[in-house]
Amino acid sequence: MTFVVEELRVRRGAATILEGVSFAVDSGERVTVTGSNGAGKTTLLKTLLGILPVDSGTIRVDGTPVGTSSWRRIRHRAGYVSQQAVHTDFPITVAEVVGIGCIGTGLSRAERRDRIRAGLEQTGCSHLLRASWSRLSGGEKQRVSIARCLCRQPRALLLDEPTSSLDPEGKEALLELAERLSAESGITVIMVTHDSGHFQRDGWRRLALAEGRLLP
Amino acid sequence: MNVLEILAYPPILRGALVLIVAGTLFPLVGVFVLRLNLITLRFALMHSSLLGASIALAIGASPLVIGIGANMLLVLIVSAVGARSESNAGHLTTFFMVFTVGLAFAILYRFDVPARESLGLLWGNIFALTPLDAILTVIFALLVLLFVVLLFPHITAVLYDRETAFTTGIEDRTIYLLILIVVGLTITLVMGLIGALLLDAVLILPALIAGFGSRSTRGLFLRAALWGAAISTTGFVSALWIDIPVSSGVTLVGALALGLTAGYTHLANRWRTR
Repeated sequence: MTFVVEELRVRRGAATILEGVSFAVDSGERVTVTGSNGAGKTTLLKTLLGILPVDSGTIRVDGTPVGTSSWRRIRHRAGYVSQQAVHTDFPITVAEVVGIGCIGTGLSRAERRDRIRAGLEQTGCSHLLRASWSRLSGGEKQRVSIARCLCRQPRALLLDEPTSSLDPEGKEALLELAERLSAESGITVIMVTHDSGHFQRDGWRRLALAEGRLLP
Repeated sequence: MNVLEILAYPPILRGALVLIVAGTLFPLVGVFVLRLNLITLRFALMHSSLLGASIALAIGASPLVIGIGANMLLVLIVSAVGARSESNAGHLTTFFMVFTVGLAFAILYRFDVPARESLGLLWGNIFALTPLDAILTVIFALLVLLFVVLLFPHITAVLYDRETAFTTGIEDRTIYLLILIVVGLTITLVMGLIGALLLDAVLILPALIAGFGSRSTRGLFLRAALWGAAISTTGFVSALWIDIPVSSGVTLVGALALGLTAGYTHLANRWRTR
């Protein structure tokens, strides 16, 4: 999945969150969006999926300018993992959470079950299939959330600070997972991170945001 | 006269059957109320039903029809405002919660509605159900079951996290609105069965008890229905046995079950952590 963003501007009330942001991401590319708190990283990621509206500028996904009618179709082809794993004491199993990713795919019950198992296997969480969501650690929740996205065989993964609550081993495991998915399945990965130091790694392109603008 | 002999009377048997069906299936709606934090909206809907019924009594119309109309109007207004701002929707719900009950009592007073009929809105009467009321309630309860079964994956997604549902391409606003409509209709119907004051026994208590020990969403809904069936049946039989109003019997059994389950869970957790 490709993304082309041109002269993006997002305002919230009187405050300008993003201004004149332009960049392109190729299919299968790995990109990290870095910046300090309030730089506009999460806003940028959310506008790429139409979660937040834009004031001006254009976003093209796979070459097509997106509008109200196409966001739903794009969300079906992309996976999004939010900054904080959902913290809930609501009774729900890992299989049920991952199964959410299969909604709207038109798969049969057996196919859904296979996709759920495959997603958990890819993320190294097969042993958690029947576990209760509320009992998982932060790292397990993030990996299961990625498995939920993988269920729909996405062409892009948009990850919002997925390593923020993880220990060094958990961060490394998650980055390796993102790299493996990108290399093996050609999935485009756009990852927001507060900690740019972690991304002195091969194969990642860095977009740096400061006060809502992309740094050259 | 024993319980079986009492059940030989058609209004009593009809009431028992309706209570058990509603008691089994309406706790599914209680899961929505608890999980989506609709407690304030539930009060607003109860008060709005009361307003609708007050207007109906004042003008000689059907309390059920006017109550449903009032509640659907409230649901649509709150849902439309909530789509723009959750905080404004919260304030609006609180406004309606207070305003509707005030207006209801003003109407009851100004139109000289007899006190007995007014209080009937609060405590309801399961034995006063007509065959048509009973059939409509059972049909609606089955529709609630159908709603939960057919849309279970979508409902699970919305109950888990609305942003996740939205980013997965699910029409979360539509599912949420449908849930609000089901909650509104259920509250109007349950108020007619056992009254406003005791609505929680049928709607909330079984769902609350089911939350203890449930690990999956499927299990939560199933347990809520089973607890609802047990509480309704035991409450009904106990009420006839010791000669108290059915609504009181169901509520007392529900409260007792909640107390025992919460106590057991607390002790079991303490035992495990030792």
